[in-house]
Amino acid sequence: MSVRELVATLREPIRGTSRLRVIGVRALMRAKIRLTYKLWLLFDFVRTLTTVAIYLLFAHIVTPEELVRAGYTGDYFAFAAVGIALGALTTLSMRGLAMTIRFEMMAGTLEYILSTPSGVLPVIVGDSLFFIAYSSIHAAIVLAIAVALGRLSVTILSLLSFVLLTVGLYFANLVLGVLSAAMILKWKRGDIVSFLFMWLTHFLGGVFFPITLLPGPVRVLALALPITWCLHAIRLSLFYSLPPMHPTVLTTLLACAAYAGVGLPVAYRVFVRVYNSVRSAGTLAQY
Amino acid sequence: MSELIAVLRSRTTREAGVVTRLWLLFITRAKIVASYRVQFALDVLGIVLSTLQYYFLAFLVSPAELARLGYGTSYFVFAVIGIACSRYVWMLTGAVVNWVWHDIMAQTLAAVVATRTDVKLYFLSHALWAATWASLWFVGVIAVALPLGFTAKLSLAGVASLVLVLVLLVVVHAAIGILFGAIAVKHKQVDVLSFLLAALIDMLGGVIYPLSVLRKYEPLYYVALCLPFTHALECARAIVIRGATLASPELLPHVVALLASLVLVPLAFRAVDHYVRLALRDGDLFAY
Repeated sequence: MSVRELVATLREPIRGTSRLRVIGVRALMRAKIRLTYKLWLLFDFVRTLTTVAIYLLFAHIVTPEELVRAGYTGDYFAFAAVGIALGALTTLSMRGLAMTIRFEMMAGTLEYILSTPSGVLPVIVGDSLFFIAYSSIHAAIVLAIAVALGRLSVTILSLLSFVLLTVGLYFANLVLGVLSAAMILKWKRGDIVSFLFMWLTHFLGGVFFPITLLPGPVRVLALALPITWCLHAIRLSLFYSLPPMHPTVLTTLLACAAYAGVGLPVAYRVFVRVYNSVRSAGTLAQY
Repeated sequence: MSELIAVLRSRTTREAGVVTRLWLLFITRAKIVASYRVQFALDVLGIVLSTLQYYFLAFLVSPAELARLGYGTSYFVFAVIGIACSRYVWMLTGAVVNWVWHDIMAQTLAAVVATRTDVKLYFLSHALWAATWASLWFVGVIAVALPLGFTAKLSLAGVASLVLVLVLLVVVHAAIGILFGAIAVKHKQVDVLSFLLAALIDMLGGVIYPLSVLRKYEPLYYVALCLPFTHALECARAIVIRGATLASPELLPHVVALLASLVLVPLAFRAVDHYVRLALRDGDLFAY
């Protein structure tokens, strides 16, 4: 799609162009922009691979006791690989969106884009769609390495559970994503949002160590994050080949649905309120 | 600021000597960093959270296996030394290149080159600030780690040895940072170099796992031995964990490797002269 076509699609009233098409165009545009930074892309993948290699080496000095006590198998690399994959999935998608909003504010393009008849929601969803796809590639590579090294075995049923839980995690995480976007619009600091998100995920989410090691009150705080319980269920489903109808998978999916069902409308309202206030104050293009 | 410009524009004299110029450039960088208060707060939070992360990770590590490899029984102490030292590399190579690149874009470098101040001082001031900031990070990590059970077997000779190792670590990596920065003056995008070095050090330097683990992957072990960081970290750990000093025979190979890496220092300054001269000749100083 050429730039002219893209602008024409965005300028078209929403009645003429379906929201789905705007979302698709936006995701495609984001992908094309990202593909122009080939070296950066290469670095990003190398960084993920480096993390995998570091924890593969670290696994040599880990004992299985704490992992078994937390309900997992004793293989630390399998534990870390799933953590790194899911960590990449959530932080890359959320961080990408946060930094994109920030960058577009600085470049002055956000105001123009959000002023088009496309509206704010399809634009945000389109961007998110690209970042989800991009981070999924990272996650797939990490898990493929673990499978290739014989540290993770996947069955069709466990894969199905994994996919369902990951989708559930996306929706549940969207609550925090939309709130993050609102924070960036309001306070113009994408770095703080992405920093906090990354650390919350890595530290409280149980990416590198089981949350059973955290002290009681911190563990309660960790359980407020969807990644914590989703990651636990995903690990169990992959390690023990749990089918989608297993109580652990079903309970987690229900929790994701409840989290998203309650949180998303609230987060969206907060975002719209912040967006309207920023627009009426004329600070959308400020940074 | 007017004082800085006046000094940089003047000839090197007793009133505005090398140290004064270096100090003013250093203070300028410090003032720029101090103006980003939120970034500073995030850095402090980063220190606390990364130290805590390794505190919890330590519960997973086998003390017996760590002791068998010669690193004592506390993985937390082992990891704290690793993350505290690795910050020097990140700052002295990655951050210095980033600042030089930023100064090329903002045309500050061209302005400094136009003054009577030796451009090498400008590069040195970046390295000095990076070393200062990384040292604050080092102290910060230790300060957070102390109440969590960090202990060190340090005698007076041990403290002196640790300081010397850190100085060597700083000098060698400052040279690498300055070298990369100099290449950036002419060839612009050299993030590849600093990124690859940082990735190599993260992966093979033994920051979070013992170097001897790499013996299972022999070629990687020899690559790791080519990195000056590996030797500095091995020395630092031996001093803090085993109470060794630079006079200990076990550290001799590492100290020799570190001293041999000092060859990078004159090479880095020669590179600055060379690439700035090339950029001036080809009119590339303003291009980015």
